[in-house]
Formats: sequence, structure tokens, C-alpha cells
Amino acid sequence: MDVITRERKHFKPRMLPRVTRFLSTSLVLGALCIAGTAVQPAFARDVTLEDHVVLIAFDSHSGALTRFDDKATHWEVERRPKLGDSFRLFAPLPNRRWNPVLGSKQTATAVKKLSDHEILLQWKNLVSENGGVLPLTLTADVTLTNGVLTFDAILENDSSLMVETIDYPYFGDISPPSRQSTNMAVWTMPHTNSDILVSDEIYSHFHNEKGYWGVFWPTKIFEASRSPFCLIQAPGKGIYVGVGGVSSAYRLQYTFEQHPGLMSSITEMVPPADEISGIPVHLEFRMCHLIFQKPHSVMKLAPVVVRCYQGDQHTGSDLLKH
Amino acid sequence: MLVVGFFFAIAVLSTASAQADEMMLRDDKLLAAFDSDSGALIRLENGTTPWVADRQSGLAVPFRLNMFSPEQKHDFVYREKHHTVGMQRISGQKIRLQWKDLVDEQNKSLPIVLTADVTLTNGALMFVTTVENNSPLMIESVDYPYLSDLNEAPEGTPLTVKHLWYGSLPSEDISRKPGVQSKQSLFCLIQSTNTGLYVEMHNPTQPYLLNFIFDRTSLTKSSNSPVRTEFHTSHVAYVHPDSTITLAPVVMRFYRGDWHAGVDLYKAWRATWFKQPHLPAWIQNVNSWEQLQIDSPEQDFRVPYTNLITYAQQCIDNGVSAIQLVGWNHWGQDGGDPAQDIELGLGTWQQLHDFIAQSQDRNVKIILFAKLNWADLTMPWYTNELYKYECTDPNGNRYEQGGYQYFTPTQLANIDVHRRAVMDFCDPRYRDIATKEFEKILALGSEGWLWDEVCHHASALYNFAPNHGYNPPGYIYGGDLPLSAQLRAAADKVNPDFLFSGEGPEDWLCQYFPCSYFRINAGSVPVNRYIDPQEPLVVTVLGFDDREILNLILMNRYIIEYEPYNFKGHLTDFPLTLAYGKKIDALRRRYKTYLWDAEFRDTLGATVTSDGSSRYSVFLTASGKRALVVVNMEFSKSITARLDLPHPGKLIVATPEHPNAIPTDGRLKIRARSAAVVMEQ
Repeated sequence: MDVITRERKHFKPRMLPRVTRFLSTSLVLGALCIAGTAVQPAFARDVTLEDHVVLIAFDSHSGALTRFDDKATHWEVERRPKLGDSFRLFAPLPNRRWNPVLGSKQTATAVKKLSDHEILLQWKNLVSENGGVLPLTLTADVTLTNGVLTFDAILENDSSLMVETIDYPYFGDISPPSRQSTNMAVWTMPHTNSDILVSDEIYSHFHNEKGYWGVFWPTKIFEASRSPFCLIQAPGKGIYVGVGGVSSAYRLQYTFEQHPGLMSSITEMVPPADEISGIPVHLEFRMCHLIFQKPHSVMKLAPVVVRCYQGDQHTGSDLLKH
Repeated sequence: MLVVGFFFAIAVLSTASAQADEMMLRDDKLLAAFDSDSGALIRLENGTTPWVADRQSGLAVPFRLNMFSPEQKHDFVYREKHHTVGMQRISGQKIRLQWKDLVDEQNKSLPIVLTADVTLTNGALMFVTTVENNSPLMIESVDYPYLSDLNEAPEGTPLTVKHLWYGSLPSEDISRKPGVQSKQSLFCLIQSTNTGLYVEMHNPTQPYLLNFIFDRTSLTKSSNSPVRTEFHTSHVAYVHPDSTITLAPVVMRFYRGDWHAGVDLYKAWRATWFKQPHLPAWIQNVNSWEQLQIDSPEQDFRVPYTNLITYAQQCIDNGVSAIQLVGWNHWGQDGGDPAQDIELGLGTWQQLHDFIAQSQDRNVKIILFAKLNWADLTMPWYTNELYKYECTDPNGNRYEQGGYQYFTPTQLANIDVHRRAVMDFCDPRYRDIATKEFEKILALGSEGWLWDEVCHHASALYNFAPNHGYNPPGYIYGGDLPLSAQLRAAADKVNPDFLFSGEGPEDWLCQYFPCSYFRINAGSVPVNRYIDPQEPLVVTVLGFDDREILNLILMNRYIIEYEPYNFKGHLTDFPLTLAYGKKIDALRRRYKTYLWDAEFRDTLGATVTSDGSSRYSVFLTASGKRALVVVNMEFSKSITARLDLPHPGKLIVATPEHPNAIPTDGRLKIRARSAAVVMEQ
């Protein structure tokens, strides 16, 4: 995995052949798109990548990931566009640590289909929760090749703040194939270089594994340093999420959050419907990059690979070998 | 103090002896036999069942000492045959054992005298032990009495050990070598199916740590030694050189029955020393709470003081009596401790003070959450001053509590949490500092506070740092009661009704923290409610349709604490839970005599059978009338339950959904996730 962190004044294009192409393309497209997107309603139009295996769509206004279908098994993994999201990052201020930048509050400057198998998304001048507009640019490149989705991203930090973490990609609504009858579990490797896989149920029960005092929602976090992939496994089918099968220069985590919470702390059951008391029931999944990116630098994030498969966790884990 | 090693001294063994070599204490409930040669306890029998709890099978250990030595290494050595200096019958039911000139593992004689007076009174075997340490070494611990071969009861079920902790009665198989500590529970129950052995530290003041130790062992240097279970109480008393102390008495009693019978023994002893604290009237009535966190060490400043009144209004609208307000203080929940200043990011002192006054004027009490155990290592106050009062280990290194993680990936990855030093409650100067911080809470005018984590001091047990106002080491839990008394005195000057509540305080600490807040699960045992039927016990409810936990709260007479979004939301965020909770409280108000004022008997006095998963409890009113709460634990199916209530009077039944009671013959149809209350007229 190549991570690029530099002081802007020392930028050397030869270090970044793919990034350079990526950035230059995005800058042009960004300039073209800003005016038009600003007035469009949310979810105005999906920009879609599709092949015979999967379909993925992004909202052209917000850049949120609004739809993800496993066509081969007819599994609508991400099916409610309103629950789509794009990214989240944290850039603490000198006198206040709490300063998230929420993708859901940003307008994309570019959501452009570059080809049948590539979409470029870009967000600029990000509005933070407590630090105003920050000169940050997130440029993401999503490719689809033979059913394999790859999420590349570059973060340009022209601010004076450190960006500690960024969550990307961000699935706002990982749905089980069926609310009524399906169980889902996350399978990971608990130990590096081990063939052992362990499971952790995420539907129809979800056990919170972080301190309740410090989370709003039941949360599970798995370390990519131990497991280069995690499998979201439903009966007979699953989703493989990997970090490219190579070691990262920073810490990566697979994060799951069950919104809005559980039916009961005794049963730990997830509400078996799309809503409870009018509140959407949804499972968020995002890849968290703990990058600690210095001010005035550019960083290429570790690529995240997502693909669907038919079979059990052994089928899923075999994908790492490919 | 430089300590390079430990060594054990005097593990005296005895071969099995004929009965002629025994000295016995015996009544109709218990028999204890001591080897007249070694003084070892070689037999302990239940007089009412065939259970021989201790039956030495060849070798018995009378006691064990663990000593500090600057030179020697830890090396556990058993010695063959060592004679007691004296064994004397003082009276018919009292004997005295005395060991002198103890020999350590280096075969060196030590000028230490151990004297044990053993008394049997109506089935209660009490060991009172005095240690005269005339040696230059510190005696770290004294393991006495010592059951060398703990046996299962005849029915053959594995023994478990049970003890009080955090509102429940955890249980563990003794083959797993569990450890029970007196700081958590003054007693443990060695429980078989329908009989048990109650073991008590007969001193509720926390003079030092007593470990109830179970060990699966064989003699390490003898291949012929059988594997057996040892049980002993280890007094971690730190007996200084040239000093004499009398250890806390240890009491052993057999009982017949399950844990209720064992806890009954504790209740009887507790009644002799437990000082019932004053409780304000409002907490004695049916009431419910909301918990609300408004800030964390990540400085989210989520709810400004001026916005709090909207939460209070929701409490008013929904009949909720109190808000446990968390994170109101500087650096939020788990930041900045032990400082109890306001957080300027949330507003001004006056704004918080005024909110509290407004809320309480409208009958919503504010309970301010705080912690005084720790010093946040990131704060200048720690660096400049509080380090002086931190607990350190024998090597001079500070004990730490690891801090807690909040919200951001950085914290959740444990990267920048606020770690804390453990403050020494034995140090009177720190107790004064803690009191001053507590007075800041009092000044805000709240009707109470909740000391979170009042039940522990992280990994620290003793402080070894000098210059803390006493000869170290100091047992930190021994400072809990003095500090609590000091805080109570400060509160009484301002408001005698000021409520002291805490997170799962140990029962002995409930004398000062009579209101306990904790979390339960399906396996929780309502032992605190069984011990004290009226103690305010506040239990978390956080699910979005949390009927299961609300039913258990009804069943165990707990107080509801609503915690939507892990106590970061509004009451109205989970309307299903709120609505059902309100129905339960309405039912308890309507049938208060049965469900609130009555004595909680857990499952004693009635039996309930059903065709599904169910639980029940029994309440006994002052007039002798009984009530049963029967809960259907099934998620999706109704159950039919049948009550077996001896000599029942006329029975009526009500439910949270149908509170108008109707007659019943004791057969109940209870729908899924619901409860029924049967009352004897």
C-alpha cells in the first residue's frame, strides 16, 4: 500500500503517478460540477456502476453511497437511499477535540462517471462541525472490475489541523437479505497469519462491544491489522471487504454500528423491521483509517476492496488468495 | 521500600491421625476436629447432613504465612511434621491453638506467635486469630483457617462459590479456582445443590483485604500427594515487624437450602452492625429516573446547560422523578477527575445552578454524576499536586486506571484516553481534597449525587507510598467508609435529604450510599433486593422496546432508569419503552402495598410452573398477604403459568396493560414479553 504524505511545497509528481492522474482529473471535473450541484435536491440522480455481478450507485448531489446490489444473488445490500452516507473525518481543533466533518452535511463537487467501470467523487472545502469550513479535499475513485469494487481515495489537507481519522467507504444501510429469517455475522481472522476464522453475529442479534458510555449505538470494531478482510456473511452468500491484501502504513478498522439500538438489552435483538417508533433501523458499516495526517499534506488512503460471493465464510476467505 | 522477593513461612503438615489425637468442637449443627499434633483443621462436618466438607486425606495444613523479605525469593515449601506449641480447651465449645517459633522455608526459626481461638456457638464456628510478629520481617498475609481437602456434598454436585457483587450474586465452579475478595463481599457461599457452607469475614469495617481462596493443588514436592481442593481465608493484613494484631474473625456455618438460606445468615449478622442511612421521602415512593450525558473528554459539549430544561420538561410530562446528569463537570464524563468544576463549554455556573433549581422546583430531582477515585493524568492539577496522594505499589510505581473511550475513532482505538492515577483514600489530606470537590456539587443545589465507580479502585488494593499520614501500606478500601462519612457530614450541613447514590456500592458501603445504580442481565440475581426489600436500586433500561428488562424491574422492585441512546438521548426517543415503563410504575403505584412496600422474597414461598420460559418473584405484605409477579420471558409466544401458593386466599390478577384486577384461580395466560401480578386478597 502506498501512503503519500508530504508537505505541499515539496510535492514531487513522480511519487504519485496514479494520484496525479486522479487529482488532475478531479480538479477539472470539480470545477465543472460545483455550480450545478449546489442547487440540486438530495438524491436527485444516481450515478451508477454496474456489471453482471453488482450494482453500486452514488447520489450525484451528496456523493453518498445510496445503493449496492448483489445482482447474482438478488441481495439488496444497501437499499434505502436516504440512509446513504459518504464519509466522516475528525480534525480536532487546538482548543477543542470534537470537530467532526460529516459527509452527510457536504455537497459533492464532483460525482462523475469516468467510464463504464469508474466513478470519481470529490468533496472540497469541507464544513466541519465546530471549526468552520476547512480547506480539505477528498477525492475518491471507485472502480468496478469483474464484480470487484475498489475504493481509492486521496485526502488533501491544506488546513492547519491534523486529520486524525477518516471513515471511507461508508455504507449507511447494510441490510440482511431478509428481515424475518436471515442471520448475518461478521467473520474475521482473530490472529494474523492464521487460518482460523471467528464469527460475530450482527443480525438478528447484535452485542455491543464498546463501552456503552462512549457510543450512541451498539458498536463492533475489528482490526484490519489482524484480519486483512472481513466477511459480512449471510446464509449462502456474503460480502468480502478487504484492504487490498497488503499491509497498511497506518491502522485500519472495520466498524459496524447498529442504529438506533436494540429492542432489548436482555435479548440483544435488532428490531426486526425497517423502523421502530418511526426511527430507521439500519446497520452502518465503514472502513476507518486512523491516518493522523499532518497539516498541509496529501495522503492516499489504503484501497478498500469490496466484492460479493456465493457460499460460506470459507468461500469468502478464499478471495484473499485471489 | 526495596522488596526483591517473598517467601512463605510455616506450612505445617500433619499426617492423618486417629480420633484419639483430635480435639473436637461439636454441636448438633457442626463438627470441627483439629489434629492435636499440628493443630490443623482435619475435619469439618455438617451436623444436619452427611456432608463432610473438610476431610483431610493424608496431609493437612494448619495455616500459612506469606512474608516480605528483602533477600529471599518466593519459594513455597511444605514441611513435614511441625508440632503445635499448645492446644488448650478453654471451655466446652472453645479451644485455643498456638504455634510458636515458626520455621521458614530456609529452616530458620522466626520469633512469630500465632494464636487462634476457635469457638462453636449454635453451629457458628468462629476463628479469632492473633499474630505476634517479633521478627524484623513484614508478614504480608496469614492464611487461616485452612481447609486442606474441601469435599463435595454427598449428592455429588460440583461446589460453586457465590458472593455479592454489583447488584448480583455471581457464581463460579470452585474447580476453576475462583477468588472472592472481602472488598466486594464480606461473605462467600460454598454452595451445593441443597446445602452450603457460609464463610464470613466478621468485621464490616474493611480493616484489610481478606481473600477467600480456592485452590486445586497437590504438594509440589511430593509425587504421592493427591490432588485436592484447598479452601482458606487469606488475611492480607501486613503485620509490621515487632507488632501484634488480632485478625478479623472468620465465621463458618453450614446451612440447608440454596443461596437464600446462606444469605439469610448474612442478613442476620448484618442486622447487628448495618446503620440504616436516612433516605429522602421521594426516593422511598415509586419513582423513575433518566440518565443523560451531556459531555465527554472529547469536548463534544452536546447539551448546553441552558438546553437542559427541555429534558426536565420531558421528565415532567412523563412522570419521571429524577435526572442523573452525567458529564456536567469540567472535561465531561471521565475527564478532569476529581475536579468538580463546571464546564465552560456547556455554560456558566449560574446557568447550571439555575437549571437545577428550576428542575427541582418542578419536582424533577437532579442527581449529579461524579467520581472522586481518580486523578486525570492529563490535567495540570495532577502534575502540580495530586500526584502526592496517588497510590503506588511496593516498587514505587503508581497504580493507574486505564481511562474510558468516547465517540471518536481515536478514543475508541484507545489512543488518547484520559488515564488516571488512583487516589489514596487512606490519606486524610486527599480525603479533605475530595470533600472540597464534593462541596462544589453541594453548592450547585442538586438533591443528590451519584458516585460512579464508587465500588472499586481499579487494580490498586494497597498504597505503599510513604508520607500519606500513616505507616504504609494502607488498604485503600479501608478509606472508603471514613471518606464517605466525611462527605455525608458535609452534605448534612447543607441538606440532610441530599441523596447519596453510587454505582453498585458494596453492601457495607450502602450504609453511606443507600441508593445503588447498576445494570442487569438475564442471569442477574436480585440478592440486594433480597437483603434489603426497600433499598433504592436503580436499573438501566436502554432498549427501544425493552419489555424484558422492564418486566424484571417490576419483578424485583427496581427503579427504572431510562437511558435512550446509551443515555445520550431524549426520553421520547424510545416511546415504546417509555410507555411500558409508565404502565409498570402506574401498576406499582396502584398496588403499592403489594409491589413496593412489601417484603421481597424472591422465589421463596411459592412455585410457578409454565409451558414456556418464565420467571417469578414473591412479595409478602406487612399484613401477611402475598403477591406474585410472573414474567413471560418468551419473545413471541404466550405462556400458561400455574401458581402453587400454599393456602391461598382469594386471588386477583392484574397486568401492566390491564391494571384492573380480576379474580384468578392461579392459572394465568400471559402474553409474550409481558407480566402478570397475582395478589392475595
